[in-house]
Amino acid sequence: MAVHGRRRRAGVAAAIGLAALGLTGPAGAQAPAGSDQGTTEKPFVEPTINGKPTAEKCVPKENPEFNHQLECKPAAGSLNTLPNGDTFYWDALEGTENINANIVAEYGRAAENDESRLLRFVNGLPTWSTPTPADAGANPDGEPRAQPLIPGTGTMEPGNDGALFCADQNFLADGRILAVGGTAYLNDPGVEGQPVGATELAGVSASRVYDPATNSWSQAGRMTRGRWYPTIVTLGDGRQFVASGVEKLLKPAYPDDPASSGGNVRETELFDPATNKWTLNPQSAWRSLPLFPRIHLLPNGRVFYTGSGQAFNPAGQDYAEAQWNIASEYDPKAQTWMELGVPGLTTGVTSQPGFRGSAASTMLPLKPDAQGQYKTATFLASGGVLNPPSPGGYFATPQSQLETVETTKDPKQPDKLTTEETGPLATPRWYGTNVLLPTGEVATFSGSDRDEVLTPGTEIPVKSVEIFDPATKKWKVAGAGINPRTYHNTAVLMADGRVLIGGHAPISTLYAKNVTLAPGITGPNDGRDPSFEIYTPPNLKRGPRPVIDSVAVEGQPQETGAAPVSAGYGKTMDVFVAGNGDDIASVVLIRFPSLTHLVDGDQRSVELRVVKREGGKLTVAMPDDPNVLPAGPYMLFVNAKTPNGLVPSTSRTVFAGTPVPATLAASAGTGVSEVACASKVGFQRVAARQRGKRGLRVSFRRVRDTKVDVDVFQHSSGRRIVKERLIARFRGKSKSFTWNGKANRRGRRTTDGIYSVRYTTKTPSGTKEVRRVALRRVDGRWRARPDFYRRVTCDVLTAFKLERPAFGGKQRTPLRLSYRLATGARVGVVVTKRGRVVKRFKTTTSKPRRTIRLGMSSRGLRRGDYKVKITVRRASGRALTSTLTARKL
Amino acid sequence: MRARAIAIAAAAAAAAALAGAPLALAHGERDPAIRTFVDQVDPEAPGLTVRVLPGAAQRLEVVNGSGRTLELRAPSGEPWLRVGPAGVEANAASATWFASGNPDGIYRAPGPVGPDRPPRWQRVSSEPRWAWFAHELHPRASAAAPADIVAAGRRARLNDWRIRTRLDGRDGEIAGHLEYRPVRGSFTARLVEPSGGRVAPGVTVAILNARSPGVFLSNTGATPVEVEGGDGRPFARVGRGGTRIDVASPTYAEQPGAPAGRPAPPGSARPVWRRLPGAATLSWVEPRARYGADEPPERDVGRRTVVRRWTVDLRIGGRRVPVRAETVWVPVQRRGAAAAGRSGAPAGGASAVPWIVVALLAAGGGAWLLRRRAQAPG
Repeated sequence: MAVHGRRRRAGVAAAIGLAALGLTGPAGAQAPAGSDQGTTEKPFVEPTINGKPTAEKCVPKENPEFNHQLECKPAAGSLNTLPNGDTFYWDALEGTENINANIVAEYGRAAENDESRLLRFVNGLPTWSTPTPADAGANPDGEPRAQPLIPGTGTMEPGNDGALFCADQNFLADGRILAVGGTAYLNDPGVEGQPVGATELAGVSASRVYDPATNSWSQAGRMTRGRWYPTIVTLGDGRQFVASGVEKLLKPAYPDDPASSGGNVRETELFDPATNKWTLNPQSAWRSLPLFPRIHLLPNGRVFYTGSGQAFNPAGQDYAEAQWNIASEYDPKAQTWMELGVPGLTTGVTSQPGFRGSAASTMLPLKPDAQGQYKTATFLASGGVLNPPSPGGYFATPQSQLETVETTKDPKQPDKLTTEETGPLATPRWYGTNVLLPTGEVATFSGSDRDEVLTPGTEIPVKSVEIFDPATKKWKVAGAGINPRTYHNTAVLMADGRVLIGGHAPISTLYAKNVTLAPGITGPNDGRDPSFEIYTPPNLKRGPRPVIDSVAVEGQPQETGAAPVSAGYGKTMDVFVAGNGDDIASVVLIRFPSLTHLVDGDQRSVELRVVKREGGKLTVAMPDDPNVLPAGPYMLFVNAKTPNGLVPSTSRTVFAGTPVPATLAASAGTGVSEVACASKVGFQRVAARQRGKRGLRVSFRRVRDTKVDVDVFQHSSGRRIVKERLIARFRGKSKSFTWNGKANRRGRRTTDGIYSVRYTTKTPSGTKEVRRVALRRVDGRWRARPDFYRRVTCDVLTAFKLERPAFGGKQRTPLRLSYRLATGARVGVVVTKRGRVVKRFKTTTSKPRRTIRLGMSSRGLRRGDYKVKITVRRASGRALTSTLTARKL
Repeated sequence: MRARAIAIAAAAAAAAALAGAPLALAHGERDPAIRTFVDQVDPEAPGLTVRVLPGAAQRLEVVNGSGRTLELRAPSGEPWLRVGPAGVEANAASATWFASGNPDGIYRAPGPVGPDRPPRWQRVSSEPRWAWFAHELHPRASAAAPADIVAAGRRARLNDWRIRTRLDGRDGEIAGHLEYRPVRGSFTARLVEPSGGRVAPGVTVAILNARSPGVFLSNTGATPVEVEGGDGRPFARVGRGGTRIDVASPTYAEQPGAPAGRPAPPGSARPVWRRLPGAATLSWVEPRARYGADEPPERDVGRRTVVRRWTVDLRIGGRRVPVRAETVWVPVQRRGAAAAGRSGAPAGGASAVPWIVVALLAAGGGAWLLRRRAQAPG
């Protein structure tokens, strides 16, 4: 109590001084209430440290080393929503709690590698788990690019050479996360054996991959340059483009010799996920950019720099920093940059032209034109600090503007940029995090009234939430956050349309130690904030939310469960919604967010063209260009019209241009962790298709390096069912291969008919996983058939298969099927031909872990494909369906 | 009672605000407003330079290319560093050696140290250069700028310092001083003519603000544009075919990152034209825009002043079109006033001011309330 009392008094007193400076309390406290306001739920926080429950942010370490005395809960300085709906985050500035007096002198030793966490909501309750290794594991022998200014004068400190802090991250196409760069700490200079020196930060050259399937990190390739504060963007071809960063934060700066002074990393590099390697781009692809440059992929495949980024150091950053005022674009094909103009000066006049520091940059939804083409991209830049003076001011601005790029396909022409000022923010905001909502509105969260990096601890937090309406081009206050979150705050869209707010990891007060100068008024500087809040935007309250019942991608069965779907480029996708669908205004795909330091290089929302409406079925067209929609995980939302504006559905996960990862497909919506389910999966994917004149390409991708057995069975010859005749067998395969189509079993011959290929391998848990693919051989050529055998899953329907992919024939072989459930549920099975019900099995309540077998006579049935659809309705009321196909001969 | 509570709170706030201050400012060079200057290196020797390295904490750097050995002496008299042709040696028996490695002079020596101990020389670098925290520069008593100097907002010499040396057996010294140099404004460059930056149909120029300002030129018109460098020679051509630049021009030699490749050797009489990748635009750092000092003369510091007028001549279709611009000094006060509606305080100018004001106001308020309470009856 005494402590609280002192703090309160101190706060009152400090308020005298702040009032004298014309400063007021946190803006969030003044947020008006109303029906158009969002609501924020009370903060929640990881309840344990090292498995022991504690309400404290930090506890003493049991076995301290390297002067690291305290163990703390990580704050979400980097935040990602995973394709299965989980949240993955990591800390920022870990180790500031170890500072005794002065962060400049002590942090080279006191800093620690930042820890990561997996946050999962189980029945609405948050649970945490720690990945392996928690700090992503890099540079056990020190960062090779971290060199002292003068050889021999620096000391590399143990335990902090591979921090995730200040890495940038993106999703790879398969749902894993690539983290690029980071922080290595050293004392420059320092003396061996001394715990203090002059703290220096060096850019990490390592890149790392987090795999949600195993909740673990692995090492990817190393870049040519070390990078602290880089930005990465996924290109249309799936490679990752990295720009900027620094190798040393405190670069040599010679006022009398600026050209010889240090600067940001100009080199750009490319990461190829297929080879796990980085390639340095040629010099034509180099450019000086601010730290964490705001760069985005345009729909014509170029990378657009908006004229915004992070700018530190009163002494200047880079001799070339004048260039940061220019919006420019990089053409990956030509490997050159083109300058588009100075936003707000040469591209349309606004009140604040040129460079903008510590501001959010958000790409508004890409929309198709009448021909279904995506040609225009618009970016919202709001808040931050402005130029002049360079490289950024001190007090935040409320100014906000739109930059619109009209793209061209002409490789020799630059795109056209125009700038337009919007209504201002209600409150000037430095370091506000923007979140693009499914309805196209943009919400901004957290931040402060001034640049905290210059005078940490003196800033006044901004807690209000403001929402930008692209229709009116105005901002409006829509509630407030609860905890003050200034530097290293984060916020991301959740799969259900709400927003997860987190982070706050300030620099120690005035570069000394953690002290809150005026509690309740200035930013809290008593360490990092490991808590989260969930914000419900007002758009979710505008009326009944539309519901996506199921999704059917062209050429694939309809999926009504929670399982993600894969949608290829140029395909159509049927989105079935509850009701008649007349009120659906738009269907959008939003890239799963991966945010740090206001930056998400892959942030995008793509509105899909509705090509057909039939009651509750909307047929939408997937873009045919991966530059519009780079391969990877997206949230599919539909937006319904209401008198108060658009209201979004919850989302379905769609993998655009790439298959759904096997482990995610198996675990989705099951409540079984993806990690646990991963132990039951041996294949990522299997396929078989024609190769050459008679051959068959048998391909597979495994989870681990296990051997694969492949068997080819013939099920029919002409109109004769031949049960399961083994034609060819291949043992111990470790990679895909081409079968010449000839039988390799004695006495067998390959004739036309229905076939299946069986793949068998071991799973990580030691069990076998079997996959089957159906084929039809006609005139010696192979054609793919729809599935007759569902892969093993972790959902309630653990197994569902037809006895064979063909039935009937001369022997009138009946259609037989079986299924197995993990938990008891109501099950209905329907057989249809061309949409007409042929047989409806009686709906029953099936017991768990029992194999149920059903059969249907083939007498009187016409030849052709018959679909067998199973519907499993769980106690929660949610239904899961799956459809298999067999051919009546 | 309430007045007392507020007074205590005010004092507490002052203490809280100042709790970090001595730590941040005990060594004045960490306040960016306190700058270190080297005034004299005696004896001088060709190739021997001493300069201040800026950073979160300033250091001195010796580069000794003289071929002779420079020995630095500790305040207590013993030699502690040798910088010579063979590299750098440190005296592991000197406390100064260990204290020079961190900004606060905190150290833990592995063995006994002291001025009376025989030197134990250890090679620490093979290069003849070294940078260190010279604690002679910032005795604690004088490191922080006195309040009256801070309040006046003027430059002031804080203290002199000297480091004793020996160069090949001859006694000498490195001498300098600390100066309080608050950031009192900043430079901004602006276009004067042509208004709006429209030079000709399709030709636009804009001034790029930065510490080293630049110019952006875009040409979507039919006629190529030549840009003259400071030496009167064309250094760039911007037109439909793209942009070409003379890598032999002095202006190109000043460009960061050598966008068209390595500059031609100095003194090249003939231009060497190279094509720049990209479209018909050009951005460059303009040396003519740079003001040579970090402030204008004292009489102009407090007012908005044009410190440099400069012109870049363009040639369009044989016609000379001047682009006139000026570099303007904008004092802090004016920016502060402007900040009410927009951003603008200089990056470095506000570094230490807000919390000092908070602390002073809070402390003053507390003292006033305590005095008032003492005078109150009962």
